[in-house]
Amino acid sequence: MATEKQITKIGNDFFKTRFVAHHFATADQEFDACKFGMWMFLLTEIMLFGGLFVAWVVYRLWYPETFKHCAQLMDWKLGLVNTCILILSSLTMSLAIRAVKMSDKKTAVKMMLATVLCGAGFLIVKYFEYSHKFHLGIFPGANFSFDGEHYSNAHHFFSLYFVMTGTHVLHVIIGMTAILWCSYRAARGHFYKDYYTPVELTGMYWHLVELIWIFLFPMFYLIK
Amino acid sequence: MSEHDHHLVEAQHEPHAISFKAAFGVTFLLIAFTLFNVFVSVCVPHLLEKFLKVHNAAAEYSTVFNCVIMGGATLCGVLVVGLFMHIVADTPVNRLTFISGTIFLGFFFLFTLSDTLTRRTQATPEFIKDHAPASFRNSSEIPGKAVLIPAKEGYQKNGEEIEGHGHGHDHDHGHSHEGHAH
Amino acid sequence: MSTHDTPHADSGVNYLNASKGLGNWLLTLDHKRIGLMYLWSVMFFLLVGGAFALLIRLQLAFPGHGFLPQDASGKDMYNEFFTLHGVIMVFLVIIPGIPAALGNFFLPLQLGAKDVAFPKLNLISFYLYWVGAIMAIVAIIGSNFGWWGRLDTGWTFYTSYSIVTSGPVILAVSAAFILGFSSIFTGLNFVATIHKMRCPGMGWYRMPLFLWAVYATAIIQVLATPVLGITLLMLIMEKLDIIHVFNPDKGGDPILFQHFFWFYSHPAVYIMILPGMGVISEIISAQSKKVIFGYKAIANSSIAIAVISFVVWGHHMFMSGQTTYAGAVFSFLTFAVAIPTAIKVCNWVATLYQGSISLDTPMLYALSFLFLFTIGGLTGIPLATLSTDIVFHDTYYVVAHFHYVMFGGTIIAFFAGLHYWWPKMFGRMYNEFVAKCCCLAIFVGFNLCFFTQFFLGFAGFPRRYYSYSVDHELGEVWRSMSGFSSIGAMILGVGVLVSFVNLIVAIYTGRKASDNPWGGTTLEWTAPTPPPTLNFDHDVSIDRDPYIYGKNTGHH
Repeated sequence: MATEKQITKIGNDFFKTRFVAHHFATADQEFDACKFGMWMFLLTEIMLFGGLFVAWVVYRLWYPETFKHCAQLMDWKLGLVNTCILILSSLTMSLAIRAVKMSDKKTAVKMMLATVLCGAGFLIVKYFEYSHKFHLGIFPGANFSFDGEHYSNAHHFFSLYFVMTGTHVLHVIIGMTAILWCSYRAARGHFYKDYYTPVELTGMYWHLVELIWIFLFPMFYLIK
Repeated sequence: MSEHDHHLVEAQHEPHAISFKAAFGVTFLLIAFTLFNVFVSVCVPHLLEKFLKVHNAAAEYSTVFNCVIMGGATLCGVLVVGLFMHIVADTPVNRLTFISGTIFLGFFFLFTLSDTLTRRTQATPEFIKDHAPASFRNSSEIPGKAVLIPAKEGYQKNGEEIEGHGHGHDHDHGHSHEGHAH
Repeated sequence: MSTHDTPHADSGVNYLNASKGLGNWLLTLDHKRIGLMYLWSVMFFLLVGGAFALLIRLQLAFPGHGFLPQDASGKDMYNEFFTLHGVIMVFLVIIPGIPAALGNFFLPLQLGAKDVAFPKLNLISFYLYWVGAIMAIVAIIGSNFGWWGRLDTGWTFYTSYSIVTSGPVILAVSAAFILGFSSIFTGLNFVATIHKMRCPGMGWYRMPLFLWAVYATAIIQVLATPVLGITLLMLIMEKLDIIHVFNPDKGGDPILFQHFFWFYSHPAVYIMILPGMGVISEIISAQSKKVIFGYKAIANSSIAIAVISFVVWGHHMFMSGQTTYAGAVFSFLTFAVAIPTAIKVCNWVATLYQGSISLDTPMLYALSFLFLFTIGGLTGIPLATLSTDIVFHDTYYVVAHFHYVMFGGTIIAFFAGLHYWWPKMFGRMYNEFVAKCCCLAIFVGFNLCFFTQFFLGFAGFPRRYYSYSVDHELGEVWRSMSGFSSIGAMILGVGVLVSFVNLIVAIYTGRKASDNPWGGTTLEWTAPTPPPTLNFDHDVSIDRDPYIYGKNTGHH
């Protein structure tokens, strides 16, 4: 079925030729629409997390002592490690996008897999953090059974911590899945200099995931 | 749609590939800002107490530290959005999309806080005592007035057990482990 | 100029018969078919939600007792009725009504585009709509089988009652969450389509006003609905005891829930009304044969309404325990939103002035809209005023005001749009006489039903009560006005039902409609009737304003 018309050769690599969807006039129109759509989707993500951020700010201002005290129970070293991992993953992701734009199939796949590895590293660190908290009896909400010194409203801090980082972890997992899918398609030669929309959009999503963590880290670990 | 209806992709625009210099530079700056934030949060209060003999610096100047830290985080955010997400070279409408998000989120913060922050003056212990339903009158859990609950016997402040495994708490911990493993 | 006069090959192939079979419909990416599926769904749920409303009015028709048992179970059933009336009407009818059904169909047509920007996303949002709808239905049915208690929270799901009730709050809230995503995806799609898919020559100020309204709506959908999403997620977690942000028993704050909820749900009432305003702009211009007065003012006021709608939500909370400082700010900003709204109404009236008005069914509905919406809007002012709101709060005055805007505004505009575009959608004309009678029945029934409720409100009749006594000095007002209101509701119900039957019968037996029965000048009237799958049988471009009447017909 693969006729010459459906194969593009760039350098030594072969790529699957992309056709513009029927309702778009040009490739640029399609790309712009997709990118704009993604920006709007990221906007909804920002608003969605925004609700949680508002809850955090309201409770931080209502219960300052509680929050200061609770922040001291957080392990900033693990948080720092995770921040660096995510920054690194953002770097690899933007290098992957760069490679795709230059029709460099091998580097693109490698960089995307490196990004997924970073994501996995983030999840592993988070696993240890969570399990240590659970070990201390720090559960979200009604199961909060911490035996150390704490304020009576400490469960608010940790509920928000678990919900916000939990939602973030969910986004990390979704992002990793999307990147894996992109790397699979990139390896099959679906992306090249004229068509790389999915990689670009996935990259934007991944950067947003990092952006949110950049704020979560100081909010729960550093601010005292 | 039959295949010949489709146009071949021929992107007219030049793809904005990020340069190595920019990618690594941003990464470096992000890590630098993060380390700076950690430094401000973890080390600066101790340094102030040790060398400048500022009494209880962590508590006294916490607002300053917090503002500096959030400022640093915001700078990181600007870098990520601006250069990694490449909004600086994006179309105006995409830029506007992102900016409108921050503006409307700002509305959300501003107007919610306009209520929750002004409420504080009303919810004093005296007010609660005089006006709240009977079941709430003895509640100490009103905004800003959380109570400190000391560590249970056999535990350090941070919740770690002091020595060995206290019998009374063994069960609890086993339970929490189980709950997590499943 | 679009080459309208090129006789299109009358092959008889259009979007309705281009491919046959259920599978082709259910997996279609054609925005017109998706819009049509939305339309049937919305009309179905309008009847379901209306049935609950009639049950409520039946119960309240007589003081002391209605048809429900006079005990706790009767009260629970009543609570379930008004919750379901609210949930179905808000989330399944009014929000998707005009944008997802009519908007889906006519947005690309009016833009001169072949489809929306993301057809697959469009289909996904339709299925999300049905997933949410089915979950809501399960929540209803389950309580009758004793799977859980009755859903008696009201459509607002306020804490702390929603945390303790035995009703299927988690299920209903998940349904609303999913419906929210359906709404987000539709909005996102529309914004992207309007930005990127306008036909050559169509600048922003050459777009029909319906598109401006849909655009403003879509912006609100994209910006506000995620906040509803997180609020409902937090409520689910609250129910599961994972967080205690909204639970006053555990140091949380129920009023914070109201802030979160209304941050979405106030802009949501503009999601409901703005597309209706767009429909009215189209019809008033087309049926007075006059260029719309103050095109730019109407277009920009849509955007102004969208923006201001985000900062007025606190007026739902004047009596909640929100501080007076916040209340005063919200009150002021609420008055501000009246300005762009009034600009629109004045412009519509100015368009009518000296126009050659043809009183066809769409125009009759549009005139009803002008009348009812103005009453609805003006009666909102006392509710936005702190001091008077204290008196009217939780009385039938609020119910009447709300329904004047939502039914008298949105649903009437929806009916106007249906009657305006039905010939284009199906190529058939409905029976005008029956349609006009239905319009009259709806207008009379509606006013009888809801204008009386203003009096009920003044007499202190409380909302959400399932039974009432008349042994007091205002008892006679309560009795008579409730009775009138119930009679009006029945007339209204009959009017809605018959007009639906009339429209559907027209698909099979109506006479063939021409391409442009109303003489409209926007692009959708230049397409064949019914439109082919790709909307136009030629490449579309435009070099004129959307409305041209009088000196230039716009066709050559």
